[in-house]
Amino acid sequence: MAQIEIPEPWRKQVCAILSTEETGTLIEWTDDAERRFAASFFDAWETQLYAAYQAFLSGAHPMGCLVTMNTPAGQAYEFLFPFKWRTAYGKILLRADGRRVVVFSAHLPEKPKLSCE
Amino acid sequence: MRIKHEEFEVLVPNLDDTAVAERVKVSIPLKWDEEIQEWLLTPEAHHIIEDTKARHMGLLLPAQFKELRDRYGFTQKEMGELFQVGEKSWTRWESGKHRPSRSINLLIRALYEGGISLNYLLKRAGKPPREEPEWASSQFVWSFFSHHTKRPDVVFFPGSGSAVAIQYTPSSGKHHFITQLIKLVDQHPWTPKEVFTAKATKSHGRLAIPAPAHAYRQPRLNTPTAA
Repeated sequence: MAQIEIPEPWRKQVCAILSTEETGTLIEWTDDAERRFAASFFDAWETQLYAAYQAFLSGAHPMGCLVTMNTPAGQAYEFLFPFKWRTAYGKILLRADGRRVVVFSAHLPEKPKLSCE
Repeated sequence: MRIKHEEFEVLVPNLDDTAVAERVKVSIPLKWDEEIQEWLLTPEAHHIIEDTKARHMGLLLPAQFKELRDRYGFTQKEMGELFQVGEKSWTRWESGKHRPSRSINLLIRALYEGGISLNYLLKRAGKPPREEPEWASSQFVWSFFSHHTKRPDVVFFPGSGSAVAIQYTPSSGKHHFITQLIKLVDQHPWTPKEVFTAKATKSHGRLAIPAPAHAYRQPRLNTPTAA
């Protein structure tokens, strides 16, 4: 398998939610994601990450992998994106209700390739 | 909803953001999400982490931005114009959604702590100065928080964003600033118990605050003050 272009409807919904910058309510973080983010990017703020996510996802043909999640949790994609002059690994879940996202990952990549490659 | 508290290590960057200067342990609340079977951070957890980081970086906190604006009775738009950053930036700093850069924070903190004058900034922003001397213009608003600090001789001075120790001299009826205890405010979130306003006067190089006629508890005498 190879990376696919992340579907536009998913991207649009995710970007709309990220643009609210409503951390902890509309944009939720797993405990693990927050700890890894803090360790990788100790000089960054969460809203800077949201801007980087949006820049990548609203760009031309962003590629990534669909990650299988338990239903009805929603749809998640993982991808590599630029953040703070480095390549970062990101994984976002758009919940089934389409109104909230969960940040599962935002840290320096631990593997050279994504799960679907 | 299941909630638990976990320890979290906040990493504070050094001045040029190239290394970790400090590690601060805090306790954060997490909520269990049944749907995705994960522990998620609550909104409060995010506030704790980001405010801790900001405070240790020397950045003003959202409440302090609001407090500074309230001190001069300005709108968010006016504060944005004063620092030439735009209303949007100021609004975001007050909400805590965004944090200022270290450089702009330095300037804002200077005003917050009385290091530069409001009139200087007004002039640079092409606005007319305020007429009265700045230290008297907003009047000094004092709020006691002795019930938090157990230090009746220590009061919080919102105008400076710092705590000051004062000494009450019965013979002259004056209160003298002794020292600034900036750290104290960080360590003791305060809720004003009593608030009053009074104009200060200068006395032998010190600011003297006349005792107000009401709602005021005199500082206890002979309480040691910080050096």
